[in-house]
Amino acid sequence: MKKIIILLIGVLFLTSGCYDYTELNELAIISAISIDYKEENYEVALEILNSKNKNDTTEKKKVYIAKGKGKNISEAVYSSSLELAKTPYLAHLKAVIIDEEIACNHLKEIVDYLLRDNYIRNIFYVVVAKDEKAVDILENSDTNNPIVGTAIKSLIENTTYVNNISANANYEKLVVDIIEPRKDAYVSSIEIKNGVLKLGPIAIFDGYKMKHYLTIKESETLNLINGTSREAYFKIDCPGDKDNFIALTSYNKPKSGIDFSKDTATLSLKLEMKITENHCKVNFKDKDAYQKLQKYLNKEIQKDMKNLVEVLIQNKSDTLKIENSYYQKYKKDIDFTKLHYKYKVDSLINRNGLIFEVKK
Amino acid sequence: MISKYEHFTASYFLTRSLFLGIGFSLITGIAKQDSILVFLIGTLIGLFFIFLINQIQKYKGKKSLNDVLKEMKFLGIILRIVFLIFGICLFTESLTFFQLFVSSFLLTKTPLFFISLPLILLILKVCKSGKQSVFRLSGCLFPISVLLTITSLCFLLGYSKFETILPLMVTKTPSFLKAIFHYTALSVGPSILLLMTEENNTNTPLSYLLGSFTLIFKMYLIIAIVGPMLASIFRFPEYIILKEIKLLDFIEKVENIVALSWVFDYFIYMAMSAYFIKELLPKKGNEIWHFLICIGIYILAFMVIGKNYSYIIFIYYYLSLLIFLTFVVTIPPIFIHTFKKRKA
Repeated sequence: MKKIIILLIGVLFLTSGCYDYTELNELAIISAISIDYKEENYEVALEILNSKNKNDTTEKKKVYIAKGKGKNISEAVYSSSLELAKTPYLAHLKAVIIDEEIACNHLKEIVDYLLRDNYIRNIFYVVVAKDEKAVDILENSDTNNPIVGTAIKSLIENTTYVNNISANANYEKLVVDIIEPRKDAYVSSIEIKNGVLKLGPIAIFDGYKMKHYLTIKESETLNLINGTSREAYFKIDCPGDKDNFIALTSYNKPKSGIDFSKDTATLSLKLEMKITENHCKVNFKDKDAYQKLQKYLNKEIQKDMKNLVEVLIQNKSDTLKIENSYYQKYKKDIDFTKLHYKYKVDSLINRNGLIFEVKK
Repeated sequence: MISKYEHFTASYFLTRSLFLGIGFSLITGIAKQDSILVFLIGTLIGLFFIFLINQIQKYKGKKSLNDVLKEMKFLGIILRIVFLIFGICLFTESLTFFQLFVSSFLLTKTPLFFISLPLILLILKVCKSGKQSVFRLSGCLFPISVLLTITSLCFLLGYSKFETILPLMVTKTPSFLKAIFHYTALSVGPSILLLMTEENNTNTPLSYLLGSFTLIFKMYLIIAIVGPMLASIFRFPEYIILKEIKLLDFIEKVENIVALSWVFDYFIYMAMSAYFIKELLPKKGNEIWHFLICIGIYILAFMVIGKNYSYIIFIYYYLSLLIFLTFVVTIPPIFIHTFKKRKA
């Protein structure tokens, strides 16, 4: 009797996980989801990784798409899963693509649904399909980007130059910015140019509603002030010579900050730059030339910052988290649109590549 | 004979045990970013109550809780009933919330009765083996739990932003005090179970401080990673932040391994509360009564409470009050009694 009880206990220990056991090839591993809103219906498409038997030598696409439709988001996902002979599995989700209508008016429903799911890990990216249906982006796989979910993740996380305009914040950080009362969110957009997926400018939000697309320049400046840009790129006209230019990149993360005095906010930025391309008549062996160029560059960046803040004020989108910074400092709320702004830029050109100048 | 080390480890587990599923989400919901201050102040207040429990241990010396209650005659009978109800409530809570945690993240399709069946059988076996087995188990699990806790704290530190916890002192005073009350009750309450030991050479305050330190650190990470607003809407914020862990860009999804430290806390807490019930039951038919009560709680947990979310919510909000009332009713009279006896 004792042995039977011990055996029973042993069996229970070894098998209690079996209820949830699923074979890998029985799982529909979802790498990306697209959500469109059309005629009061949510249209969901799931990008599913195509599992292949090692003995199977036929050429298969790496992914396939399952589509569904419904009055609400859960109904649409349920409807799309009816096309699947496998169990939908969201733990490897890399991107959620939403169309502009969802971004402008229905994001709240999506956020609620995705936060409640047991398996979703909140480290995927949400992107807006710019001037396209979200499903078109999802179906735009090619030999370069066979899995759209992975392609979007790579586009956002790419650390050279591209990081200038991508909103490198995962879903969890996006939700934090949306639900915190003194912050506003921003996400990357994806567009199709010549049949290829391309990272678009940043889309800014006021609460749950998308307000506006920034321009590429504004997106770069936003990332610069928020300190997320790793290699910001600048092209400025030569001082006193508008026909030629000089290109510079920052090579360390910029140091940014916000200071307040009465009703004035001072946005400050400190950058270390290197020269990547020069077409100006500047003697780089002369230290005054660097200072002159730095002054000129500071003014140009200040102009960009001013322009960005004006756009943010117009759209009431506090993506620079100015209200939050003020609250953290003074424990008081303030309307960031009513503040006066000052801009302080301190750039330091201290690398010029392997040459001083090209002799012409 | 329970060693000082085993007693220390059991106290450490008990300090942390009510924070998975209750403590963190309840307190962040009330105090938002001031939760860290709540944890700090709550620890200092809790230390006083822990000191009381420790003093009782010292005063009663080698006597068991049973002996002390017998000495107290009529009051002892009432206190025994109160303790028994308290033990049953804690055991029911632990089983229910363990089921809830496992069914939310790990075994979502497994029926509730199957999730806790191996656990209840193991607990019955441990209780049958005696008090020493419970404490020895705690001693064995302690190094693993500490290692997992340190691992999770180290890995998560890189994702935290200090400025997220600012500004402090923004919660209204009533909410702040309410949160402190919850913290103190939830961190101190399970330590009442330690009264069943017959050791007088214990250092409960030190282990309480160690347990509280890990809780404060975890609370800081919750607020500093997901922010006060998101933390307050998650059911298990302490588990959600573990999903962030990523090692060298290729080791991911380690949350279930790291979360084992919470499972250990719950397991020791369950075993201790089950043994506490056994200790208080009459000697005659002790084994069978204990078996029946444990099985009854198991059935109650998966058939009634586990299937009705309103009961879970009730426990979530009122467990602190139950602990407080039990503490107020039982600890002062036992303290006075043991103090007098010690003098005599």
